[in-house]
This record gives sequence, structure tokens and C-alpha cells, in this order.
Amino acid sequence: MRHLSLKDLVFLYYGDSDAGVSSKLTQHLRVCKKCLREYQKLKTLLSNLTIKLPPIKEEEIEELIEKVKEKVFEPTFLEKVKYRWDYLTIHLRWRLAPQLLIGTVAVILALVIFPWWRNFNLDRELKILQLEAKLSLEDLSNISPFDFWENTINSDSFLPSTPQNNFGQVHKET
Amino acid sequence: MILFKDKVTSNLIEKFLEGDKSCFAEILKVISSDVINLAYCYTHNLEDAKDIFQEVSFKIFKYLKFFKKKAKFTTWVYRITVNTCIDFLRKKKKIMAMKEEIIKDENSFCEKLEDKERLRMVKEALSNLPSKAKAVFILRHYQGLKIAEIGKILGCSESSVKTHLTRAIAIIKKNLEER
Repeated sequence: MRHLSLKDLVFLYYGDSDAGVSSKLTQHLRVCKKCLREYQKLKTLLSNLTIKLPPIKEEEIEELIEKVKEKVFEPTFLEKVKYRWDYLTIHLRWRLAPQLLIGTVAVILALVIFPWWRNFNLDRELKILQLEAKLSLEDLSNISPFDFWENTINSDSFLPSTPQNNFGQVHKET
Repeated sequence: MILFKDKVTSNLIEKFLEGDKSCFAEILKVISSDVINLAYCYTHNLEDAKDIFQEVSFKIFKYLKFFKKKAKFTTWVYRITVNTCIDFLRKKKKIMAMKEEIIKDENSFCEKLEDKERLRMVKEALSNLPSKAKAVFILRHYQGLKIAEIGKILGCSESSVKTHLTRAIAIIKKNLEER
């Protein structure tokens, strides 16, 4: 014959088992002396584990409630802030999630794309400058100093002789 | 009794949420005995139980707006009370210090030596229980709640509650037999 487990005895004591199971357990206890002894031990143990709540006067409870009311209905500034914060975190946490996600993505993109765009622009400008410089160098290599001299002499701006100066005269005397 | 309380409180809650703040005191009156009782089972000290009641009242006031009427109000209150008790004990580190306190703790209500001895035994028995097993045992043994309801309060299945209850009693039995 299988003896009852502690679980069976506990549920029998608290009346948590089904009516059918309960009657079976009771029948078993009638037959099995060992289980009956265990059950009585358990019964004594649990019935001894009582807690006697000290008597509380109604006035004491009233007083407590008054204290709570005082504190609850006149919250301090910090408590108000905390309450608002709790309200926000409880109510808006999931509603704000998409916005926060979009915001975060935007910030990350800004942090990555802006420097990349700036570097790209700088590179492009540098390449243009390099090209221009190369072209000018090529032009310079093709020009001789005499080209410059001829152009300068033939131009009107090369020290023309006027009545106000004596460039022509000096040239003639010499 | 619990059903009656739930009916009463649901009307009061509706009024409170509509803006009638005087209802809050009424709600507290209805639940006060249950909360103090449960807190006393945890702390074995009336003053601590009163402190816990105040703490629970603040929490109820604060979160009543968010209370979903899917669950019973009493279940919700029990859940808050259990969590507050655990936090309270954790804060004060009473779980570890409980044995030492027993000697110093001269409670005025324990006039009889027999009561003192019994309280000491209960304290010793409960102090060594794991958190969840302790909650299950207190709610079943002292509050007389059903297994299903305890499951709702603690957020676990009925079979889990049953296992915790059996484990709690096994530990208590072992502890007391070793004495």
C-alpha cells in the first residue's frame, strides 16, 4: 500500500483537493495508521502556527487614514514631479517608442551622413583645385619669357612717351 | 466577504476616479484590516504593519488610476501589500536579524507566556522560508485565500502555488523538528 505524500496531507488539511480525491484520502487515513499519525502531526503543527493579531482600535485606523490623507492630498513639489514622471513613463512609454526610434535613427544618420557629406565636398573641391593647378602648370611650361616681353613692349601700357614725361627725350639724347 | 468588499470598493473606486476624493478614505477603511493583518503576518510587529499600511495606501492612491478592472480589487491590494512587505523587510534586513530581535522584542500584546512562545515559534518557522514560499504560506494559512487567488496575486500558476505551499510546510516541519 502506497503511503500518502506530504502534498496530499497538506491539501487534505486545507481542503484544496477535489471531493473525490479528498474522500479517497480520508478512506486511506482510516486504513493506514502511519499516514494518520503523519496527518495528525501536520494538523498539530499547522494549528500551532497561529498568529494572534493584537487588537487595533478603530481610532488608530482612523488616525492612520488621516495621516495618509494629509500626505496624499497635499503632495510636495518633488512628489508632483515624480507623479508626473510616473504618469509619463507608464502611459507614454510605448506610445513614445516609435518617435524615439525615429529620433535615434535620425541622430545616427546625422552623425554619419554630415561628416561624410562634408568630406565628400572637400575632396571634390580639392580635386578641382588640383586640376586647375595642373592646367596652369602646363600652360606655364608652354610660355617662354620672350612671349611675355613682346607682349609687354607692344602693349600701350609700356612707358609711352608723353609731354608730361621725358622718356623719349632721354632715349634720343643717348 | 471578499466578493462583498470587491463590490463595495468597485463603486467607491468609480466615484473616486470621477473626482470624489472623500471616497479614498472609505476605500482605505474597507481594506485596512486585511492589509494590516497580512503585514503583521510578515513583520510580527504592529508598528511595522501600520507603516506598511501607510505605504500601501500611498501606492493605492498613486496607481488607482492605472488599476485594470480585469482583476479583483482585493487581489490587486494583496499583491501590492505582499510586494511592500517584501521590500520593507529587505530594507530593514529583518529577515536576517529576526532571530536576534525575538529576544529583544517585548510586545505588549503578548501577555501570556504561551503566546510569546508560539509567536517565537512562528517567527522562527517563517524566517527561513524562501520569499515566494513564505508569501504562499501566509496567504493560504493566515489569510485563508484559495490557491487560484494566490496564483493571481503572485502571478504564478496554481500548480506552482501548490508546490510552494508544500515546500513551505516541509521546511517549517523540518525546522521545528530540528529544534
